[in-house]
Amino acid sequence: MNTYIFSIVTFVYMAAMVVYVAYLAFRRPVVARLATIILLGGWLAQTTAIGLRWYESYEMGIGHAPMSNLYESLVFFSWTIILLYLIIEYRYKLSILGAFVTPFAFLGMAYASISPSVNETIQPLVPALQSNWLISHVVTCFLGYAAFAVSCGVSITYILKKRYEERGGKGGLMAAFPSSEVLDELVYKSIAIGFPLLTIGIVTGAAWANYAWGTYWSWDPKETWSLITWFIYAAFLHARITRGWRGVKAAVLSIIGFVAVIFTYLGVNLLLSGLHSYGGG
Amino acid sequence: MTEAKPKKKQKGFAGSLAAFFSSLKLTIFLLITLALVSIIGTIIPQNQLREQYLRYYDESTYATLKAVGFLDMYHSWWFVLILALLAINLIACSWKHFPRAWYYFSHPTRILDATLEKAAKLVWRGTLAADKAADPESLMSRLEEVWPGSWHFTRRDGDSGVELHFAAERGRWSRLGVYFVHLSVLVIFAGGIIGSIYGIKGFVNIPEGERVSSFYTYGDQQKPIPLGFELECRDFSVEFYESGRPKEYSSDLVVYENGKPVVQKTIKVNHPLSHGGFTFYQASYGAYGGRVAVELHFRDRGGMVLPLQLEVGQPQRLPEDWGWIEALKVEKNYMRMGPAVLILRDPGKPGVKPYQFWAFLRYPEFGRANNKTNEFCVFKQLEERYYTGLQVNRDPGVWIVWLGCLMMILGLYVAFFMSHKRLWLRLTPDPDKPGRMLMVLVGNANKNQPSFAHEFEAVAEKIKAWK
Repeated sequence: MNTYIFSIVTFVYMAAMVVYVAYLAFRRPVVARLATIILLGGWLAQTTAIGLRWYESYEMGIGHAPMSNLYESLVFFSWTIILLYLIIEYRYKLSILGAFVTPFAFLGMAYASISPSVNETIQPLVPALQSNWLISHVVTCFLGYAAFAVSCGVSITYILKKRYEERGGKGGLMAAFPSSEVLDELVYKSIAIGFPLLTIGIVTGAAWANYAWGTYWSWDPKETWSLITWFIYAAFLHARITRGWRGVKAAVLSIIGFVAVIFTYLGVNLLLSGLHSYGGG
Repeated sequence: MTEAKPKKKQKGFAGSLAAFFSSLKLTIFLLITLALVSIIGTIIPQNQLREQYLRYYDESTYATLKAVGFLDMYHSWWFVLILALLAINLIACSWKHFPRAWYYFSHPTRILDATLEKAAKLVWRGTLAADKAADPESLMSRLEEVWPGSWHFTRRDGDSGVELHFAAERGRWSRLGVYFVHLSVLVIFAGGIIGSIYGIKGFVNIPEGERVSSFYTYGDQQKPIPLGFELECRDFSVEFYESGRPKEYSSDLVVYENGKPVVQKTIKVNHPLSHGGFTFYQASYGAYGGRVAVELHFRDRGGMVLPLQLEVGQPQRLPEDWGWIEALKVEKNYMRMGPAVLILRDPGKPGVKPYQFWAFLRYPEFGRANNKTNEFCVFKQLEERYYTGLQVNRDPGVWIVWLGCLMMILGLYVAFFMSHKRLWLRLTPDPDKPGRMLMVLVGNANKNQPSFAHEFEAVAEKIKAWK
């Protein structure tokens, strides 16, 4: 039942994405409002389905939070991206960013629903995952990832807008975007949210590893890649206050940071081997 | 400019070295370098045996990789050097900037002077009847109602008469958040170093019903390290889900001090046992001997059935000239089909080679279905004997690492989400209207200015309403 709702949600997110892109082109407030309503509807359905999946796992007698394999994590990742985006859209009235952020959530859901290598059944937890750390570790990591997804979307917008401003551009599509200063601030804000969350994610992971395996850090590829991501965003935070590194260079760092996030999340499990293999199947 | 130049030269080598180590550009360079080189160790498997490396590298590649430290790169001298440089950079940077931050922290500005007023982005002006300002104490309490915080009052003589200055601030600590984060990195480093010097990691396998008093490190598997007490494994058990995925591994452990049991605990994955400075984690398990009951069915010899009790690992001779049989090993869940025993059978006939096969406890028909031989084996009963594999760990640095982590999280919160907000209110006699005071309210926040602007407006509204 829940997987059925999730596949519908995938299409709803695609529809929201299309309407957000249409808003870029037409710039009519009614279009933006429609996009928001579609997105919110999809998100509520997804929330219900996550709750349902959680409930179903208890019905099966193997109750656990739906965060234990690749399918569940992709669904949760999309969910956090949309949650964070809706908050930002509500607070900053920036429907224009929707076209750059919703694709990440749509792609996550599409990958989960379509790829044959992603197993969508509810599976029981292996011993290493039977821990109270599971929820706090996964939730903080994915909230952090979602914040980074937003920052990546905004960074792309920032670079486009900055080029446009430097050309002394007037009119056209780019005129509708907030000024590059506002976008820069938003990139910083989302990373300022993501970075502490990633830090907590790494720390809870280390604490958990120490409980399960007796080592808080073993330079496992997953751990190392999360640290690489941390280094890149730490570099971003320092770049932003350093002459010669502000602006486009910092925005590029934030995009590279998100590439590292995606590699940490998916690449490590699909391409490298290590202890942290739960997310791979 | 001409005066500044010789001053710069005076700094000399030490000065430029200090400037180099305290620069943010070095920080960015080191962080990006760390990110890049760390990738190596995620692609090249780390700390494996020579034989394992030779499966995918030839001898000379292996030798080169080993020489440059790529096979244990996170402990190589150059990786540690980059980390050390980062630590130096961090200390130098904080050393340079901290005194200034501390000055602002410990010397709050309590006087709203012309310079401050000019630089301020948030300013509100109004007037108040002079008699309302006659008692600064009551004004203070009114201000505290408007904007809770510790308000300070200063009276001083200015150009136009007596000036009343009120100042308050919130979140002064946020200015120190970043230093707290930097300190936390050093604390984590310290914890890691202490762990690597005084800590020890190893393993021990305890057969069910037996005791050990020492364990082995991964590096040297010959030299046992004493625990200082005895550890017994009373029982080991493993459970599986119906799908064959493991559900739970658990070991009943008992600690003996001077021959007396002092602690008993059932450990599982995620539930270790700590005693005497060591922590024991459920890491692996395996079959350790054990006894199996099998039936050997002969298709010839009148369908004769021979019941046998086999000790795992001990060949047993069959009666007559029927050869030998041995249970080589037992698996708890072989190919996800439950317990199975690997049997070696030597029929003892010239020209017939010994052969091996698996017999499954839950699937006796598998053996019967095999018609290649004129006999088959049915696995009847398993008397399990397992050993539990424990990871043994002692790390006196781990609590320092957790302290550092906690500091970092708190520091990041303070640095990113708290801002230093300040308000000043100055009252001066109105030169044009006797009996009235001029009021100037100024606000400042070092972060998140838009939300503070709202807050400032609300404060101004309330002061405006004073009667």
